[in-house]
Formats: sequence, C-alpha cells, structure tokens
Amino acid sequence: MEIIKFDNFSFKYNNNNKFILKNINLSINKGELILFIGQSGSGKTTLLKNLKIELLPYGEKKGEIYLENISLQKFSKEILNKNIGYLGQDISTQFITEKVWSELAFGLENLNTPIDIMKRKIAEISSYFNLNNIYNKSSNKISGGEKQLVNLASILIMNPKILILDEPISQLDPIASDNFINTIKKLKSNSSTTFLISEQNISNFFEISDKIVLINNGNINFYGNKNDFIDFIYKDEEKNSNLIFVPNFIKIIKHIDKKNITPIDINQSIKIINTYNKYITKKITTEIIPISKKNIEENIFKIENLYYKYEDSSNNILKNCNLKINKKDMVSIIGGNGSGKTTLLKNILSIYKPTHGKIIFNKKYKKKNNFLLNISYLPQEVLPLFLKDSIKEELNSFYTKENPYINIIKNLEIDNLLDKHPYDLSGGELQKVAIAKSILNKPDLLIMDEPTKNLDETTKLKIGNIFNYINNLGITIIYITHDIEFAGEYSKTSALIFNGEIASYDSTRNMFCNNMFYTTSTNIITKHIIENLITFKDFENAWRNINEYK
Amino acid sequence: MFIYLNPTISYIYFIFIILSIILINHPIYILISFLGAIFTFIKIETKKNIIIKFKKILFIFIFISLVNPIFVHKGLTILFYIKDKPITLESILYGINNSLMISSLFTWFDILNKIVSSDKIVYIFKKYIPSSVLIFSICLNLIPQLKDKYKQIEEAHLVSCNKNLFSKIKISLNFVAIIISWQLEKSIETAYAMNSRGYENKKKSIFKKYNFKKIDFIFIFIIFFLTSFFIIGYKPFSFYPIIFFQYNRILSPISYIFFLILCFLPIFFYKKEIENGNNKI
Repeated sequence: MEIIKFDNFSFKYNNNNKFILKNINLSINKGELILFIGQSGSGKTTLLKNLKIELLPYGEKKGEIYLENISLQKFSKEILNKNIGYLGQDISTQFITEKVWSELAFGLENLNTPIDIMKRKIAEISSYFNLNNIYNKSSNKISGGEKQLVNLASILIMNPKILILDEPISQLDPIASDNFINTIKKLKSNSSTTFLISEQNISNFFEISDKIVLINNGNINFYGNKNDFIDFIYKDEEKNSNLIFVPNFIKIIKHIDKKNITPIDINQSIKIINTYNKYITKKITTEIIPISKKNIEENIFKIENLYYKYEDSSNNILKNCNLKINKKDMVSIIGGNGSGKTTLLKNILSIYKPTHGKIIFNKKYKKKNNFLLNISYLPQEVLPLFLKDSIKEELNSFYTKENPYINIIKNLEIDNLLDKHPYDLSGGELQKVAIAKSILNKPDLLIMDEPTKNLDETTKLKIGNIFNYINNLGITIIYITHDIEFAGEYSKTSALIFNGEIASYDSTRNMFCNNMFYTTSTNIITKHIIENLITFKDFENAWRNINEYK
Repeated sequence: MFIYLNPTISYIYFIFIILSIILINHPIYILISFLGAIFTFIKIETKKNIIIKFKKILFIFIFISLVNPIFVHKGLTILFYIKDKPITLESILYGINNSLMISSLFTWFDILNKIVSSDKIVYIFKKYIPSSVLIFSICLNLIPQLKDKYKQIEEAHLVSCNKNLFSKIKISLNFVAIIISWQLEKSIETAYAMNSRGYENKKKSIFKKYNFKKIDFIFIFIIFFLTSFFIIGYKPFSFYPIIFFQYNRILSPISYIFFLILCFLPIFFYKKEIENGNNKI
C-alpha cells in the first residue's frame, strides 16, 4: 500500500538559482525501510525535509507530494505533526528539556494526551529502549549514544506513521552506532512504521533496508531493492563513480565474479570466498611492505610513563603510557570508546598537563614550553576553529598561489564555499574546510581527532590521498579514528589504546593482520585464504596474481 | 523525608523558613536558623562543598561584621573612636547578626536547590507558568553546554595562539562572541525541533509525576502546629539605640524550642542511606 508519493516534484531554495531537486518521482510503500544514498549536497536532506512542514525551508516548489493519496498541503498541522517524525544529525540541539523524563513527555504534552495515557506510554517506551538507568538524569550527564536514543524515543512515543532519520549515527562512536542500528532493526520488525533513512555509508543499514534510492544532483538515479542496486552499479563498472558506495565486503565478491550473488553481510562474503578455495593451490601471501626502520628515523617525541586523571574523577584514564613517534610517520590511534585517545592527544599538545610522567619532545622541536615546530591541530568538533565571518577571511593568508599545498587542496573543491559563513556550511563541508586550513598552515606535525567525521566516501578518498601526498613530502601525521577501514588504508603505523596504556604499537599491516576484530573487512574476509591483505587494492593485486597462476 | 513528600510541600517548607529569617530580626531565632542550616548542609553535602561553604561563611562574617560598624554609628554604647566617628557595640552586634542572617539565607537556598531539584521546580510551576518554566528548563540545559563550548573553543586554539597575556585577553573576548553566535545558531535548530514535535499546538496537557498523599497533609499539620507555638512566644528584638528585648519566662523558651524543631526538621528525618544512596533527592 502506497504511503508517500512524490509526483514530478521540484524544489529550489529562495536564495539559489538552481533547482536542488528536479522532477522527483518516487512511490514509497507502507512499512518499508528506504535508504537514501547520495553525496553531500545531492539533495537527500532537502527531499526529506519537504515531508516535514515544520522544518520546511522557504523556497519554490513544483509538483505535488501525496500522503496516502491526499496532497500534503491538505492536512492540518496537528495531524502532520503527529504522524511524521524527524530525527536529525545534531544530537544535542534536538534535546530540548533538561531531563530525560521531561523530554519523553514533551511530545505527548503537545498532543494534549491525558495523563494516565502519558504515564503508560512513557513507561512502555522507557522499558523498550532500556532507559531506566538514565530516566532521571540530565542531558549533559548522559553519553551521545544515549542522547540519540532518547531523541528517537521521544519521537516514537508520538506514534508516527513515518519516521525520517537524517544521518542519525554520523556523530556516534561505533558501539553507540551498533546499538542504534539494532534498535531500528528491532523496531522495524515489530511495527508498521515506514522508515526513511538518509546515509553516507551504505553498509550500516544495508541489511535491514527494503529499497535504496540513489540521488545524484537532485535526480533519482536508481530506486529499487538491494540486489538490483548492486547490479545497477556493476552494469557499468569501469566508469561508474557510484562504485564508491559499494562496501568492501560486496566489492570483493563482485570483483571475483560479477555474476556472484550479492552478499548481505561479511559472514556471507566469507562463505562465498571459501568456495574459491579450491582454485588456490597454495596459500598465497603478499609481501609485507617493510616497516620504515624505527630506529633510524629520528623521534619527534617520546611519551614516558604518562598518567593522567581528570579533576573530578578518581581514576586515572591514562596509566603508564609509553609511546615514541618518529618523524615522517603516519600514525593512526585506535581504541574503544572512552579509552583515553583524545586525552592522550591533549596531553601531547600541552592542553592538559600530565599527572605523572612526561612527554619529551626532541630538543629540535620544543624548547621549554614553546613548540619550535609548526603544529596543526584538528579537534573533534571543528566548529570552534572558525573565528571569522566567512571562509575566505578564515583562510585568508593561506589560500594563495604561493602556498605549496594549494594544488592538492584545490582537489577538495572548496572554492564555492569561500563566500559562505561557517555556520551555513553542512557538517561535511565544514570538516573539509577545517582539514584544508590545517594543511595550508604548512605544518610539520599534523594532529587530528576523528578527521573523517561527517565525510562522505568520495571526500574520504580525496582526504586520504592528500594525507599520503603530504606525508611523502615529510609531514608527520597523527590521527585518532574509529573508522578502521580508513586507518587500514591510510596509515603506516597504528597504536591501540586499552586500559589507559598503549596496548600495541606496530605497523598497521602487522597489527591489522593479527587482529580479529579491529581490522578491515577485507582482512576479515580473506584471512584464511590469502594472508596479509588489508585494503581492497591489496585484494585486487593478490587476485591478479592468483589468476596469473591459473 | 523529602522524597516521600510532594515537592510543592517541600518547597513551601523551605520558602517558609527563608521568609521567617528575612522577617524576623531576632538574633536568637537567626542563630537557631543558622545552626539548622549548617547542620543540614553538613548532613547532605560532600566534604569538598562543606569546606567551600565554611570559607564563604567566614568571609561574609568578617566582612559584614567589620563593615557595619564603619558605616553605621547609631547606638549608645561607644567603644572607641576612629577619625571622630564612634564605633558602637550595638553596631558590631547588629553586624554579627546580619552576617548570620545572610549566611543562613545562602545556606538555606543551597539546601533548597539540592533537595527540591530543578525538575521538581519545573513540575511545581508548570501548571501556572508553562512558558517560563520551559525557558527555565532550557536555560538549565544551556549553562553546562555553554561552559563546555567555551572549553572546546579554548582548547582548539590553545596550540596556535600567542602566549602573550594581552593577546590572550583579546582572544578570550573573541571566544565569548563566538559562543554567543554558536549558541544562537543552535537555538534556531532547537526551535525547529520543538516545532517538529508539536510545540505550536494550542492545547497542551501537563505530565504530572506527583500526587498529594496523606503524608503531605500530616507534614503541613506539623508545620502549622510548630509555627503556632513559635509565633505565640515571639517578641521583637531591637538593636538601636540600645539593645532591648522582652523575655517571657514561659513563652519565650517554648517559642525558641519550637522554632528549633522547625529548623532542625530536615536533620531529624533525613536518612542518608535512603535519600542519598542514588543521589536522587
């Protein structure tokens, strides 16, 4: 049964000359989970916001939107309010009141729900979402993942027929993400709600999605089910820029044989690849690229016996940390949520003072309390970096022809953003500009906390290539990430933090090949057949060698 | 005790105590109220906060007791002269009285804040002034967020900024301007989110968490009972021009004792294991 229909719908913002959405025709059935994929700026968010009149941007519309065969404009505000829920990206701005219980009650109060029904619904949804522990807590005392779940619960409590999620997990760490995805999965299998989810990374909701919509430049390029989507992409493989949307666990299987069935998850990929075992007569190992000899390259700094404890806490978050970072290295720091990665970085930058132990910089690079080398720091939240009213002013002296890095930054296409105010940019655009600024600063040492946050796959690829380029020119790069695929592709050395210590510090290839979970999907799938693969490129090379043997 | 009561009743109790301090300028009552406040505070707060509190009280005590005699020269018992202005005993005693009054006011307010927490205040007033209460709730949410934002901005620029003091100050002002813009932008998103959950609807109901129970009425009765005895024996106290008060051998002690019970009620009935176990008062 059809619940939403876009009929030749076009939309243009008032202050823009182009139509962002062009002749959209889309029919969505009740109870399905539709995944909207597209690059930043393709129009996904605009399309979804047009369903939610309260968030409706001012602009010129053409065509119609129908809800259950009735035009959207004919519905009263109250009915639309209740029946369409919208969960955005930004976690804290959607949390209105102070405490969790008042947040849950907020929507119901606005619907004039009688109090006994309110009590029952709040009790029911708190139990379902397991919010008992945080029911009485303030919003600033709960984690990001918990906050996003409360946001979801406070929308669901109004029983909407349609639930729109706009990149809901982009700000969450992997564990909170998994939790959220499982909650959506549970909800989908137990209800008739229609879910419209917009995402950068297709693999998150791929398994539970019914249909996929690919939006490019305001047009719908594809609308259909999962398998057809993959076939559509592989129809024109050589020149298809859409290949970037395909997660590695599918890419590997399709690379072996385009006609293979599309695996739903990594497990299925492993099963499929095992059927090719008989073609591999002996275990192929790729050579491990030699680790840049640690002892020969000079140290930039050494961390010795570092302990750090926050003032209002009784536990040391960093205990007996030891680390040596070499010049010209590209280091990824990985570890679980709350393991102390950001704290370690802040200690290195002298933002925090160690409780015990020291961080010894090579005398060439630091004298007393002053850094003698140029450091660029990208914090987890990049908005604080912007102090001026336009991007042009912010980049100012850096964005000139004389700057040696100007050519690679041009690749990021930030020219059209120069006249805008930082607050008018989307999360992904802001992140791009922040990275550009930190590189144009001509640093000797580039330190970043989650550089790939908010970025779509295409931009991640560009950023990764930029990192490789500047690292080859001699810039030392250290970054924290929980994007294991990115770390596997774009780092030479990795450090794993656990229990306040650096549990492991080794070349990325060594560490990932020996890990069971903290490793790339390519590695997990091919482990038992071909050793030492961590990126898709490794797999391509290895498979070519196998075919040559044949 | 207070978790068993309806928050309106607890709130009324504390407001009553606070009003009685303001209206009654009698040192013995003030002293009793002060002791009640201090002992309750010690019972419900952490060691660190108690030490901070004592330092503040000491500061107020010294400051007001010294300032009052310097500016107020009423009173007949002159102790000595400073630049031919008389320093009188009555003035010093009034100063001490006043410092006790202000200290106990601050302490009672702190206790009020801790026991009738913000969400209870929201509950109490929501029926009468819902919009103001919502703003109150949003503000409470905002203050830790603003502090956090400032810290983020400071840390983001710490690495690249000039160590010189003057430019640090200039930059801090810039940061404050940034927080304001940042917060204003975010507030617009919050307003959209509120709208999208139906805030513009006219008719709304109120989520009530508490009801009036028997124990609330018993508590109100106890308060009235104690108050009536305390009021009966109340005799005003005057400092200027000379210290004068009336003392009835029977009624006054009764009045003092009942006021003492009134102020020490929280201590008698507050059981830390029950109420502070999960830090939920």
